[in-house]
Amino acid sequence: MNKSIKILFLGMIAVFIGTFFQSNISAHADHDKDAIIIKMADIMINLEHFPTVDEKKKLQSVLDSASSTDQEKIIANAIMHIQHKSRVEDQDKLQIIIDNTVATSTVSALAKIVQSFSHGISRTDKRKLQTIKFKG
Amino acid sequence: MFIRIISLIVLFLSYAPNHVFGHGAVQRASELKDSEIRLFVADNMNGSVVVVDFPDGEVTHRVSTSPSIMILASNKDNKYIYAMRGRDTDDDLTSILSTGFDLEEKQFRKPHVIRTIKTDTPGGPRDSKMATVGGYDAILTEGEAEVVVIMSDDIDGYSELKTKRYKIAAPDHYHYLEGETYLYIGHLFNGFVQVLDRSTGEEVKRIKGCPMLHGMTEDEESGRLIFSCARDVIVVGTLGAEKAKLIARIPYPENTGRGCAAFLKGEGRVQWCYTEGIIPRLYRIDLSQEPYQFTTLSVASSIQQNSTDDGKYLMVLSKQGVLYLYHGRDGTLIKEIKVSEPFLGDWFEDVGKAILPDIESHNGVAYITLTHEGRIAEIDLEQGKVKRYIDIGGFPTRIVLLAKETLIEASN
Repeated sequence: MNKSIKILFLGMIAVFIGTFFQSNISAHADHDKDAIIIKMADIMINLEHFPTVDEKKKLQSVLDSASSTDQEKIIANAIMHIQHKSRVEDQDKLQIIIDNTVATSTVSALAKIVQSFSHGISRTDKRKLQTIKFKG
Repeated sequence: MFIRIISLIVLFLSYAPNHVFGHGAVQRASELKDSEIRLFVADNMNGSVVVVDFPDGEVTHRVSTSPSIMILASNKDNKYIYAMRGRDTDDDLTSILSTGFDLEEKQFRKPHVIRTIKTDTPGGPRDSKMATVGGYDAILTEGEAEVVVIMSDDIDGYSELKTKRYKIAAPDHYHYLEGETYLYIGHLFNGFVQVLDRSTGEEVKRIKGCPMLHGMTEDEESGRLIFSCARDVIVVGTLGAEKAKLIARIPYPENTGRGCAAFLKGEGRVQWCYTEGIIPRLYRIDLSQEPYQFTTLSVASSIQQNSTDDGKYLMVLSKQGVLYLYHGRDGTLIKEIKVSEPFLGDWFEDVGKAILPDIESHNGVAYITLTHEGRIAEIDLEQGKVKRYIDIGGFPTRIVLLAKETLIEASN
């Protein structure tokens, strides 16, 4: 009995490892989509002056999620507290993200957009956010 | 008095018909457009094919197709454009568009969707050209494992679409080319090349030992096909005694990561190949030199590549928005042209829909879809500068380029 369980256990581990590596080597696999960044980009595209109650709920889910990174949580928190502009303390935290990430990363781009938000989204920033959403 | 009355009646009669006859004749305006180049561009914001005519650089038409275009390809005689959907939908469709080229007038008309057909996970085109079987357009359905050959010479919207079907070994992602008498179908996950007899559809053999087969090309001079495997490429003959035989295996250069997913034809019999996604290098192979071997060309982190149709230039678009021009034979860097702002973030294209920019060229002019900026850059390669930008809006991706001179030459 014990032996069967052991074989079953080892078999499951083998399948798990095999599946894990398969997703990395398969061409045209569904690549990981940056779901949290896309969710926040989607909120920012239409943001006017401050987030709505529904948008705050979505941002709270980012803050509560174990899969959100620290950077994503800082951005979500900053968006949540936007009142025509982001708060000064949030701008400082966003600057740290900007300074510590590759300038062409989507995290950096989103942080810059939130940091410089002023009442609404500029056309250029809207295009950047739409592109983040489009490419996934 | 009498004369006045007669004159009034005549005047009334001559005036009246214009008003009492409904649907009077109108002057017909010609739709013909004397363009040199017509670009078909897949805009994946909403799944339309945008048509841009040159030298005007005018967006002349937007043809609505199903959303999430993955593949855009012209057929062998350039009468049709096939727009195949990606897999982020649950309804696999292929739209067949007219190119609008009027062979008699040698000018372009308005393109339109001729018909849209169901195709289970469609594929098969290579280098923006449809797969063929015996000169007919073919679609490889990756879900049903079939080669569907469209046997109708002229495709219209109401006649029965005559097809011939070949059964493929298994559902898979295929890399296909037609040989002299055989059809060669590379299977990605199954890791073999299935060889079918074109006349009977019977399987001739399977060339095994090519795990993760992804990418292929042909050397026209020798008729040999090259299929990319995980750790090397295999060379398969198609002519004479070499037919359907494994000729050679060429290992990738050591310690350079992944293999070749697509090939670009350079000058002479040189070919360049590369992996998917953002790449740091290309491999070079000269198929006139045996034993075959790869060498490596390091490039700035690149989002898209192509070569000019004469093979003179290898064009490498970097993620920073710079187009690098390399010599198509030896890979010498010739010039750098700034074409756009950087492409922000990761650009991983899966099978959902096309998202990457594309590069096409003709007679020393390149056209690049700048997906992130919603426009096309027209670039003079000889002068090394951007001639102009054409705003498309949306998210332009795949390009099919039709040049009038090529269309006329092909028809003669």
